[in-house]
Amino acid sequence: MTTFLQATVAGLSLASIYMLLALGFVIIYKSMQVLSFAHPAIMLFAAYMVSWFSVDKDLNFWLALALGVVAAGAMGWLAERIAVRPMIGKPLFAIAILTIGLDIAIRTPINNLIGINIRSVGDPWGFGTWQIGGVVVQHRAVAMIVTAFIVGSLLFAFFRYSRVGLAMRATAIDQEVALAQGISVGRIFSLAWIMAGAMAALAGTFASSDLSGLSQSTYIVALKALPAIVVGGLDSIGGAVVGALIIGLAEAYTATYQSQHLSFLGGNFSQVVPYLVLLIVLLIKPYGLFGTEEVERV
Amino acid sequence: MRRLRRWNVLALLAAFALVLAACAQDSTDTTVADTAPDTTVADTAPDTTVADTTPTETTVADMMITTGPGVTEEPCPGGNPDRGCIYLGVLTDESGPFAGASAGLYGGQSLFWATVNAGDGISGAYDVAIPENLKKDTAYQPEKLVADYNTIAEDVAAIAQSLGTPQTLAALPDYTRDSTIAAPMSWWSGWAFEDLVIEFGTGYCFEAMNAIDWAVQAVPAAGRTFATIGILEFPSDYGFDYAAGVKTAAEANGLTVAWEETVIPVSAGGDPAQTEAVAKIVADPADVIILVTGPSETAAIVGGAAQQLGASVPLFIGAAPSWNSALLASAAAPAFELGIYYQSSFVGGWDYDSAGHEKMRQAVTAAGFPANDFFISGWVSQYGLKAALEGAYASGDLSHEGIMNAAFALTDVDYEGMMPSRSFAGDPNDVFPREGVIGGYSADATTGIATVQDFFVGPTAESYEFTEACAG
Repeated sequence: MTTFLQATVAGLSLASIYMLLALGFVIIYKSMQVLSFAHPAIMLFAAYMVSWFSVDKDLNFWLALALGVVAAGAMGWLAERIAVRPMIGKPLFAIAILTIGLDIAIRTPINNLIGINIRSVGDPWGFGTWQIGGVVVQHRAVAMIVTAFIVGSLLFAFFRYSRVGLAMRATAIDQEVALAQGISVGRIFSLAWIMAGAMAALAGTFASSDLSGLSQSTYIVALKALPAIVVGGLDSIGGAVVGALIIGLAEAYTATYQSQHLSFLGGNFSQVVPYLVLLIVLLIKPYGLFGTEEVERV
Repeated sequence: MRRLRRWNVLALLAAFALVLAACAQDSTDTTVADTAPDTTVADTAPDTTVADTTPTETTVADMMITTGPGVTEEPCPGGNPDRGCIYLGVLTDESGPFAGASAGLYGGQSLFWATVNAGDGISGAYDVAIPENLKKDTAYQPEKLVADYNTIAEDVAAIAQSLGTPQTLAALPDYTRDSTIAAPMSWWSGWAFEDLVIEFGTGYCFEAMNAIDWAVQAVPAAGRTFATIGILEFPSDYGFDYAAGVKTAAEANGLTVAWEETVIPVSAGGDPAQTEAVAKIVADPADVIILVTGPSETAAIVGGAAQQLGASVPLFIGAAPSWNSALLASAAAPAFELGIYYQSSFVGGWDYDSAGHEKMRQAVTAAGFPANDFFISGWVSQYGLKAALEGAYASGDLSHEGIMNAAFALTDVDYEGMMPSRSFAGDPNDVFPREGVIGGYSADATTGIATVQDFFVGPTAESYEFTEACAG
């Protein structure tokens, strides 16, 4: 039982990061119908900024985190205004390809800044743990899980009850109709990228607060959130949460038990599991568990 | 053909006459280097020894140097105006899994040659340069390394860094076509059997044998039992070659390899928290865990295991590339402070007491770079090339073939104490270096690792019949 609970804590920790990242992907997708492949770069940029403010400039971690969130939001806004906005009306795949270019353009200089060292983000959780009934719980894990839950709830309420959230949903359904209703589609796009950037900042900081720290490789975590949003449904906030939980827990349980009980599957099978889950879900529900199904005449 | 300038020839004749008069019996040491202008930093230039390729008689005709690609009569950009220039290429990884190492490796190599150039250069006649345009980002892809090499093949005398084993193996046919020698940035034991590869230090395999032989004595002495081994390795030549050495030494010492698991690098999409590896250690904590990984994985594995097991966490021995001084500032630092981490290596660590280390430290500090072990690898990798270039110059042939032949004839490359000197001429079983050094975590050491066992050859490595690569 201890082992199971230990794996559950690990899975929830993983799911928290995936959730924050998936929410960023979904916010942009909900407003523009575009999957932003620049998200990993913005996450890396934000984590570096938090590290720079916290370690290099010796600011309080929470202030550094706040500044990192602002910086990532600004980076998202800039990316949208400079690169994405001029592409509106062009084929969606072209915009998606453009975001790959954005990813490289942002990530390359950040990689140079990170350099050869593993960096700390100066988080207060460090090596600290609690022992709860034989289960080791990292302080960091609790912070991540609580933050992800709060952010997810706030976002859900934002889209469900606020006027701006309603406008974002309307824009996602039909931009021309939204414009006709007096919604500033351009502002909605900007807001989506700013919010996604802020989510990425939180995710990047948590990912970098891991024992392995912030390095050039940290951006890969963002790519591992993709199965979560596909499983949950690309345009569903609730789906992103559920998808992240499914993927995170499946990965952690496999990592804990597979080598002992299903060793014939080989090492590192846990890294395959997210994509296996993705495959199974898509075969059964092509739009994900909570995605909006499109009705097409044939 | 490169003809020395007239004043150089005159100076050479004068110097030659003086040398003949003063020490005729020492003519093997007479080269153009004797006519080079004195510089104030000459004494800091790394030294290498080339024994067999220097002409026993020096005449004006011997100074007619045959040159090839990458060797110019014109000085290097910003170099000594009285010397020619030898250009080297670098095939590194600036955007793949070892991107984090690239700057340090290239930095170490550049500083090495800058220090050489500040002294006598190559025999007082040439400086050596690795300009940015001859440094290529291979992204750790074999086909890209081959393509990149071919874009610079006509412009380089040799390759100062060929990063990665599969990548370098892929390029070997092209290196062979051009007779281009290359310093690899990997320690696969199979390099001993490849002529054009001027490897440095012992291979992963022997490093591992020495680590286990050392642990057989040291672990019980530290009050722990040592009967079982767990291995966590990257699925690559690095992981497999090192693991082969561990298994060989385990068998020789009557130890049991309880389990062996591969670890996907974080940079290749692996789990940053290393949940699987940590779970394996918790479920089956072998007495000593061998880490053949990178620093990120080391932090997550050692830190994660220590968080869950506390004081009963096993001892870890990491291969040389498993450590980065930045771990001292990571969240995992408290785990290392438990004194459970040791490190095998082919070269002395940052604080190691040798003339070569001292020169490297001075160069890195003067350049304003922070201490980092990647500089050591970059720096020490160039001694073999320097010896080959000096040998080629001494034989009057700086063409690719001349440099290659000089490399084959090297019998006593001196690494200025950074590692034991070695020969490249002879059967690998006789000449391949087997010495290793062991370090342990120390908060007082500049990069976190202090020497706990100076260079030695353990009994397993000593008796190992080395007729082929340990793995791969």
